Amino acid sequence: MAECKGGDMSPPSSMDSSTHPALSTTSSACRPPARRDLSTDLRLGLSLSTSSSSSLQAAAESIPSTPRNQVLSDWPPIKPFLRSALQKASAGTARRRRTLFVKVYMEGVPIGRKLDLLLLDGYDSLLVKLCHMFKTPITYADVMECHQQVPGQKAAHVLTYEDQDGDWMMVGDVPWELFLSSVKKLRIARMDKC
Amino acid sequence: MGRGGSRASGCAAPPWHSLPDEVWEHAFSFLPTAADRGAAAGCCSSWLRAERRSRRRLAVANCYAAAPRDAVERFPAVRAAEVKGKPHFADFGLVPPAWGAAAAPWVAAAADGWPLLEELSFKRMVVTDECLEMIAASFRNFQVLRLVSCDGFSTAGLAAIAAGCRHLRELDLQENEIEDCSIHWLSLFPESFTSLVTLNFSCLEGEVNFTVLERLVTRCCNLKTLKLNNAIPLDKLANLLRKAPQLIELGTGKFSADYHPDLFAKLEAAFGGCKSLRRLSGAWDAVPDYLAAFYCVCEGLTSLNLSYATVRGPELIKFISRCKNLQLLWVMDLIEDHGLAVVASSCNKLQELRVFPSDPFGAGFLTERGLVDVSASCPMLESVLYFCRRMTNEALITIAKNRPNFTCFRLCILEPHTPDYITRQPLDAGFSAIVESCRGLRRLSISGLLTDLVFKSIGAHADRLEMLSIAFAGNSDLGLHYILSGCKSLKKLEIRDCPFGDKPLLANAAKLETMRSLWMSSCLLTLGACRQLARKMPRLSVEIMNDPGRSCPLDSLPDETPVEKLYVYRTIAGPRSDTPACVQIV
Repeated sequence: MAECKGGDMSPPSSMDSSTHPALSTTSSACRPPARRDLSTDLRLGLSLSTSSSSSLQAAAESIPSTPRNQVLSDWPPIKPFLRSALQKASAGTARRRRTLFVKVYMEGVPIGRKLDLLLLDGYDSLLVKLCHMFKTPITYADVMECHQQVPGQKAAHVLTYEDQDGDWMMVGDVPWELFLSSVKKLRIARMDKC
Repeated sequence: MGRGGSRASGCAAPPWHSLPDEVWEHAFSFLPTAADRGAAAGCCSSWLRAERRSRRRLAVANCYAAAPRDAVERFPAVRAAEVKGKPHFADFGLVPPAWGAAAAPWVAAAADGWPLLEELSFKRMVVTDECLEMIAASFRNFQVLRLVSCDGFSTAGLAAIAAGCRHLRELDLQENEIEDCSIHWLSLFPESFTSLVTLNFSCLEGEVNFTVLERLVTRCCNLKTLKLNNAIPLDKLANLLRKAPQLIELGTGKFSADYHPDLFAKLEAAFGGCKSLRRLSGAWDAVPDYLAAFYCVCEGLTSLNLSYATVRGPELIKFISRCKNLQLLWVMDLIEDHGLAVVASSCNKLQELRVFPSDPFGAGFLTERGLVDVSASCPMLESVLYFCRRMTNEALITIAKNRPNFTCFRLCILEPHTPDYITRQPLDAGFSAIVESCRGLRRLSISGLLTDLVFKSIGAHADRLEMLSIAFAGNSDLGLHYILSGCKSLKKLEIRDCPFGDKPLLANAAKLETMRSLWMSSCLLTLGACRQLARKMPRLSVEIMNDPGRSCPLDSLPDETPVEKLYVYRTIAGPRSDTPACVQIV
């Protein structure tokens, strides 16, 4: 077992940075960046004085930067349970919500997925998103009638949701804004079971 | 394998070689840790055989490091097994949801080879209802099921466990995503069933039948740990506590209700009966009015987890200040600096402190001062996880001086690239002071504005560091080189959004084989380097993950193709066969 043997480790490599051609050129990178207005510089920590090598600057420019106004869904590192507890707590206050994560389950798929409904602008984009996520054609109440007129294109799955009372409803039964205030989770159900 | 088999090998056998395996098997049972057993097993072939045949507990830190069938065959006498799956960064959403780590092959192998299995723990794995049904049906003396950060199952699977595991002592469900399919799973514990010692369903969303729960708690008179979910209302808690005054650990349900003196008195009396209570958690949505009901148990508490309690103000601080024997405290930053100052003066036995952000994108309440105060007054403090908005080098240097006994130091400054807010300098000096002063440090997470200098210090001084998390730090390849060429004891390294490229990875390829795993995402890696690494180190599995839209056959991509996510781990099982489309093995 790989994890059962602690004793057979080989010694770590002992490379000297001064003998490494790629690394020896970068010693100037350890200089702390010059003092600057930090609220506007998105490349903090990568800002080097003009004397540093051009290859480094090129490297610095290709670094994925994190704009301040962009909210990272995976930063800060908080576990999902705490995240959703905070979400619920803030939903109780008057503050405007930034996210509305709901769980999406599909029949026959063991893993549920999470989806931020506030990133979507209506039922159509929700459907596009889910079709892409689960790689299957899905329909919802509002468009079902059209589909039934074209039997050949009938989707095999239909979208349902659980509301605050715990009842399962067909997605599309109320306007989008009302849906956002009542949805608890989504389930992609098999058409033949509905 | 015959006992005399290796005696014929010819070379000079050690004098103890002729002792029967049974003697060694008994001797090994006195070795305290798995590492000691592993070291003993490496000594000679008879010890290896005796150790492997007598091992009762097996921990597999990466489910893909060994094949389940091989593990079961090698350690046939295992009674307790723990298997971990996804990389740690899965906790924060960096690992694709369908990455893998199915528990099913492990459950199937265990069902075949370990009929006497008593304990099973899975962490960050996909456990299906079928897995749970198989567990319930396969092991006749099954006692402990612990699932941590798992998903893939529903209350139907829990119903199978409740109905099938007649000797269950512990059902411990921590932070799992459990689908609620409206089954009264608790009611499937038979009426004759009384063996439960631990019942934790705090992560379960949705209601449980309270009458059934109350009956279960009443008849399991050895119940020591009970952790409820937030669907259990406050007015039911007192009833449960009266039925189980022997509890050592309690996770309350929802701790809010309109204030009624009767309810308060009932709760206070119920807590008054719980003389053995040592650990308290839950307190969802706690309201200040009811916190005083805890007062009579405060003295006895050694552990208090309020990380889901969005309560603030003087009542919170007054409550915590009465818990003078706390060794562990988890709270939200709503406690603020002055609350932590009170913790510092009241809780001198504190060993572990975690402070979580109540509003990760908001203004924040906490600064470096709270941590400085606690580090100055709590001499036994050795583990910290601290989220805050601002920090200084001076504060970190003071903390390092105050507490050289840290073994775990995780600091998350919420805004990436935040410098020392007074000097506007990088926080290199502060984190360097931590690794230079805390020689026993095993786990470290760093954040804020950091250059390669901090990695030079970590590589040179953090000799016992086993796990290092890096985000938004460094300025060149040199940073990663310092880590990989230093840090003698490093087992897990996880890096995101750092300007580290191919060269240090390839130059230190041999180091990766001494480690358990390396995660790098949003760095500067190319496919060519991953190919070279995989060729050079055949015992490593090199996995890459790119955007779903860009997944195409690996062979057709040029070497310069950037790699968005890399996960490297050592394995004796070869490349896994269950990769989803978004994961490719180089």
